[in-house]
Amino acid sequence: MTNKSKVEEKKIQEKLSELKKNIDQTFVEELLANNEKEFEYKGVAYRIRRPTFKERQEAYQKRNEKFVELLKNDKYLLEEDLKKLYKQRGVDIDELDKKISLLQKQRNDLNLKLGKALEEKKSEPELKIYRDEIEKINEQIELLSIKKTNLLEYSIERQTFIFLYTYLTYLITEKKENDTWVKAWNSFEEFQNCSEDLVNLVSFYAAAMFQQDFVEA
Amino acid sequence: MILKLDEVFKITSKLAKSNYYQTIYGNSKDIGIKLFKNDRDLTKLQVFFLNELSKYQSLFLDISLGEVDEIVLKDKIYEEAYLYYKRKKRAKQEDKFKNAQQSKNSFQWIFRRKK
Repeated sequence: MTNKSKVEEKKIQEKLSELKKNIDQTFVEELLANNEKEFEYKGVAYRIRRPTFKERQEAYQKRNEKFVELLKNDKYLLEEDLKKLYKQRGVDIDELDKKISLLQKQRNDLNLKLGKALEEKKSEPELKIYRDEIEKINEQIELLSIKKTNLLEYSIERQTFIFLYTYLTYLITEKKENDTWVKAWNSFEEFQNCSEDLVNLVSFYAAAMFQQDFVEA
Repeated sequence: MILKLDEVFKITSKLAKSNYYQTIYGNSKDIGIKLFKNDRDLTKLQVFFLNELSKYQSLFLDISLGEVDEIVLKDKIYEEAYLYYKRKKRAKQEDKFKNAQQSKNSFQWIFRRKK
């Protein structure tokens, strides 16, 4: 990643952190109330809504094209190749996966013990022993998962997913014109070149509302 | 860059546990109160909310039946552990039942009388 893009990413991070401060009970209740979310930006009404089947299909198609495009580019590596490269530098991602699986198994065993102890109405200090162990494991799993995600951030697969996510955000955003909802941008390029604040705002709502939908898109 | 918003899920879970939403959820079928404006095309967040409502309904029921103490609601780790244990216990019982049925069927077949 270049210094310029690092600075840009930091700027976006700061803006998104600002937006994150808006997340409270009322905000979440509004997200839950419907499968679309209306908001205003510079006096214009916008909305994001759940992607339709057709939009998902279009996004799939674009994702596939992006995958092939990156595959043809020597500067990008597949996850498997990236893993090999990391291994040469002493970072074993498969080993990370094994550690995560082992920790998950340990957590499952402890969950069974804690669940049984709860059913048997054991004392709180007894429950707390299991609880604290599970908490420690959860923290370890989280750290390892973050490490793995960060290491694979620049793989072709990950970059393709980020592209899909951005493309869907573009597809599901509409604006109100003469009481009718129309596409907010005429093209993906227009979306990419529009106001950074608006893109951040749209991405924020899309992430809050549809993150899981996008994962399974 | 993809923004992770775990806080949204945490608050959704907290809402599902609240008396207010539990009451609405419990009565939604009987008196037709709607939880969402949309009837279909639920978002994954809405589906998560429904799962959480159902999870807490089951926990509150177990507490009222005396199967577990209220302490289970004190901590998310307690809740998850208890529900995980219950799921595994139920699966084990179902397997046991299936095996018993299978061995019962094979027993009848082996000793079938000539017609």
